[in-house]
Amino acid sequence: MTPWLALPILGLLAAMQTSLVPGLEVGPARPHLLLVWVVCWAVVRGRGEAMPWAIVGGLLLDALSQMPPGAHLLALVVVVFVADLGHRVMQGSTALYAAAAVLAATLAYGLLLMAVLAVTGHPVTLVDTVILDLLPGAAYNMVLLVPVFLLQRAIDRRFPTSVLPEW
Amino acid sequence: MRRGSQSRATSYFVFAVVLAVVLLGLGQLLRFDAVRGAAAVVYEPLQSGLSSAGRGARDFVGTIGSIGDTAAENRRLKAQVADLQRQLDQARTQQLTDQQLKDLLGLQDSLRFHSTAAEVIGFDPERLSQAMTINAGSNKGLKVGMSVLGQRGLVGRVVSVQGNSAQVRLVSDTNLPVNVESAQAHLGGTLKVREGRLVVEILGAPTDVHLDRGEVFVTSGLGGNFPKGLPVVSVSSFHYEPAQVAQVAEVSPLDDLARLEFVIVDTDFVPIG
Repeated sequence: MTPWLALPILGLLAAMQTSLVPGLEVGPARPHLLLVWVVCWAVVRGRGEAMPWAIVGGLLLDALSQMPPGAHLLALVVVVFVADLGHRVMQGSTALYAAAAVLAATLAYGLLLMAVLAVTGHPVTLVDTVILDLLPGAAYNMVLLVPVFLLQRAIDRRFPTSVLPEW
Repeated sequence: MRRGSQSRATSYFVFAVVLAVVLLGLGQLLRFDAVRGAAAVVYEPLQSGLSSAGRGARDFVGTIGSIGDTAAENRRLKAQVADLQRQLDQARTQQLTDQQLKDLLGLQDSLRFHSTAAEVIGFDPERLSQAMTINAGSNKGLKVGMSVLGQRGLVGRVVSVQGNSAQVRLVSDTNLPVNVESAQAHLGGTLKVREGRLVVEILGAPTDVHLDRGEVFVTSGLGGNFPKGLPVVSVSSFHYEPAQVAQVAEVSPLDDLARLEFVIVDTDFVPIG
């Protein structure tokens, strides 16, 4: 899929994350659409394709947030990089690996954002945030993963990556 | 994956990390707020539409939950109950919205200031930063520093303004201390976030200080950041600590800050400086 599609898709996901998602909360659980999309893409296609999406997505979230600028960019590219390491070990896009990657990525993403807040002088409450925010969010993301993974697998099969060597 | 693609991805990663570190360190100097302002202008129409859809989604989730309560019923009755429940939820939501708007008007009348109403169209992507976006901006006379109220009291302060939208930092944000005083005893204190909890810190409190659960704190006007007398929080719990210089009362916002849908902005008061 062309990287030029990244901007409108991620733009829509970022807008949904700030406006639609608060209405989709179940108790303390809040899904993270953009994170799930990008990490899943890293699992399905590898970081070669997911990294530009992570950069664009991270900058969009930074632009729409009041967090320290650069926080989302850093958190998103790091989790995509790590997700791709697993992609290479697992040799492809298995559903089980996607679930593990999204679970780990949600926790790592949240912890990285908290680390940025702490480093930039904002007080953070680690235990409360992990228990009341990150873990319920991770569970919600696992549910969200199912349609996202199926859609991306379909896209991957419809538009397979070229196997020709790149010179 | 192709080697070229992989090495390019690694280059992207290094570039992104460097860019993130630069933004974190020099974001203010590089005027990233201008980027946020531009993004807010572009996103305002989309966020307005999506926030309405979000409220619809909340109703839908509520309806699904209520259908679950009738699981023991037979299929026909379940369908009927679900349909009735859906209608009831819609009616309740409508009633709630009406009540919210009436409360806003009531608060507006009781406080007797010029104000403008706005709809909440966006929250922070994560709950780590306590901020929201509203669909009123300089077109409605909003300025940075103006006070924002929910149905029952102060919820935040305008931190940036665009043509049709504005960003509001909530009172639950660690970077927005509010000088308050108890409405009954007139004890002065500061509303802060401490270890994730909203508290009022009272310096030099008398030894016989007593704060009842539900007692309201209002803005004191000290510091010139907020007008005097806006209700802000109510006491959740308070225990006098003889050994402490500052007494701490745990408090709760008067409005549910995570579920704000409509707010009013006090356009009369602009902070000093």
